[in-house]
Amino acid sequence: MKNIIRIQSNDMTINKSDDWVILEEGCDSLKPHQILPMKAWLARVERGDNASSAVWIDVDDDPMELKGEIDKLSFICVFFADFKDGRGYSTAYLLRKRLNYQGDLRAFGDVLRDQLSLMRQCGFDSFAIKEGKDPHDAAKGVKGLSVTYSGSVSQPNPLYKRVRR
Amino acid sequence: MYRYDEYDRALVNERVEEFRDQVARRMSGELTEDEFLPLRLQNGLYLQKHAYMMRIAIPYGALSSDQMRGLAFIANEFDRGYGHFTTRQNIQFNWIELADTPDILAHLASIDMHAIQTSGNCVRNVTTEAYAGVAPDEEYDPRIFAEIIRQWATVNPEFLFLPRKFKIAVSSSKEDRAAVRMHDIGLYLYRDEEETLRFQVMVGGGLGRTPFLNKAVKDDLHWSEVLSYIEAVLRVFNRYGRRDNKYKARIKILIHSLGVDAFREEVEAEWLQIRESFSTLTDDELSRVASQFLSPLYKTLDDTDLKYGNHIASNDEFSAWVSRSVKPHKVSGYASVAISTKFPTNTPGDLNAEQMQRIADLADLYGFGVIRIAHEQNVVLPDIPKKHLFNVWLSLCEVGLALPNVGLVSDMIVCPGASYCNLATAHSFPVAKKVAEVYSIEEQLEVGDISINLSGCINACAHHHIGNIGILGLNKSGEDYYQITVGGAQGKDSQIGKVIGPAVSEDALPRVVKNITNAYLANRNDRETFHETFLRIGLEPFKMAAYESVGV
Repeated sequence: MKNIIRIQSNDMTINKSDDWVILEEGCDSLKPHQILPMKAWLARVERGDNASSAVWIDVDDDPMELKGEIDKLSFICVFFADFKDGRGYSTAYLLRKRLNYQGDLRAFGDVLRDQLSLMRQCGFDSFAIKEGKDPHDAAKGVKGLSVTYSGSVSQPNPLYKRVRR
Repeated sequence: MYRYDEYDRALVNERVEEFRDQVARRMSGELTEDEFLPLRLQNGLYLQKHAYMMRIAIPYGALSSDQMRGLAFIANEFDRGYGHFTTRQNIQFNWIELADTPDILAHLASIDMHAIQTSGNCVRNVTTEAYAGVAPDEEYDPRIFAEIIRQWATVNPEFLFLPRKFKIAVSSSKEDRAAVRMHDIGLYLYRDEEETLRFQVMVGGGLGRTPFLNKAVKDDLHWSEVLSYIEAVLRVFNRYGRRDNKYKARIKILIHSLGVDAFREEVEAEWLQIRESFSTLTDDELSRVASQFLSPLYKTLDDTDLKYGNHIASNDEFSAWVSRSVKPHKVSGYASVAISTKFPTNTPGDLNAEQMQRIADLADLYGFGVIRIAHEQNVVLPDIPKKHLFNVWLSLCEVGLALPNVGLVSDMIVCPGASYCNLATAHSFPVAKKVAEVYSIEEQLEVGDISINLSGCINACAHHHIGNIGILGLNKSGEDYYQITVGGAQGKDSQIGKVIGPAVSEDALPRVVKNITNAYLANRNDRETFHETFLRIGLEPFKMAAYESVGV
């Protein structure tokens, strides 16, 4: 994958690319660093095939279908077909809060600077910035506003429980 | 009223700088219009026919006198000297330059205001009624929960790219003056037998091309759980709402296609997962916010004021204004004043900077410096001692704001229409003016309280479906035509009006509207309202009368 911003604890690293590859379809002989579509991955798990530990979730996939299998995964990518389609934010929320997913969570597709702080708050910790955009420029969007009222994945308590107002 | 603390202020200031950077990147071409569009919408900026329009949030319609002066300043400095108040208690400026918007927002931030989420597919300004806190029929001040919900929804990261816009309204009085039933989420706040505050939650209202009133999904939600419940509704909507067709993307369509029972089950299932969560409201937080809405320090006044009574008895014009504009107040000796912004002296919802300043001055002189914006696009001074009403009226007369027509035919709710809006299919203001002009004030008083709503297109910004008489502007081969509905109503017994027949031309419209009000006068029993008469006699008599002596 290209244009990668990763956040670990509070450190940010930016890379032109990494070894991961998104597969559009399922395939029989899986190579290292290949990321299967969620449905194909689930089918392999059901068949008892060795299924790797990485999947990607499409915009209309239900992440709750990973319930029961989530411990097998250490890398999940969520696809944004259009940055104006906000389903991926709820997908991230459900993975982190409902399925208690602890591994890496990456947004890819139409992923742009001005949405990164929101994505981060919903539990994403890495981003594959849209091709053609400069990831160093996009990284300026990670910080976001210093004040948030509601709780979120990254900050479960709402403001009124975090501080004395 | 709510005062910003350091957190509110920091958020708004940082947001201004964030948008300043985004505007600069747009102007340099770094951001495409497609990428910029949702960013500017969520900062209140539309691109209209002639220029950018900026919609500024007036949370639940409450303004201080200083904030009103700030709006007057923006009108003079950045616009053409006036602004337009909307049915959702906001204000719009119509002649804005993109390059000025960061400075406008910075000025707003300096007076504890913003334009965050006044547009876009996100949770919009939370509305309530103009008489919150002073209405005699109120159970609990709805602004307190409107503010709590506003904060929760502001830049809530999961819900900024919803399938479509999302509107929430709260009411907590016998009469619903906030059009709660046409909101995506409508909340009626009440006290149960044990005096515990609970919400009746209704979801899926909205007008536009497929009008629906919202439907009850929960009757007895404990107040502390209101945020988790709204979160559950929004998550279900965000995941399952349609995104393939803008006109089928509101939550009303999701509920209509799932059925309200299946929708309720989805929401309940989601809610059970988050019910005992971080977003449960605490007594401390409720008290903290409630303390911001304490009543002003009212004086002990007699309920009747001799001088005020004398003025009413001796001055017919004042007395006519009092009977329409002066509203009851929970405190003895005080009243609320509704200031009409309507025809013939004004354009519905519009105030010029001088008028804004005058209202701010009156609020400071007599009314604790507080002002409200009503759903009907009028301005309210909520706390005026009766003994000062005559002076208030004299002062309003000087700036053309003493029209005695509140609640009457000419107090129409009107959207800007084709004068400004590029969605509009027909004109609104000039046509509404023509309708208002065929009634003398005596004739209007004879008709009495009535709601007439005129929208310039199917998007229904003037809520024509819930007007007693609703008028919808259409375009028929290049000409403005108007479709008429009768029998709409807002409030607890809200109803969507019914179409009476073929649309009529601009020239015929005033006659047709008058035929309809004449049919009401001919059929009403004693003190029946327009809506009561409609409920008794049905659509037919109105239909029969409407087209009399007009060609269709």
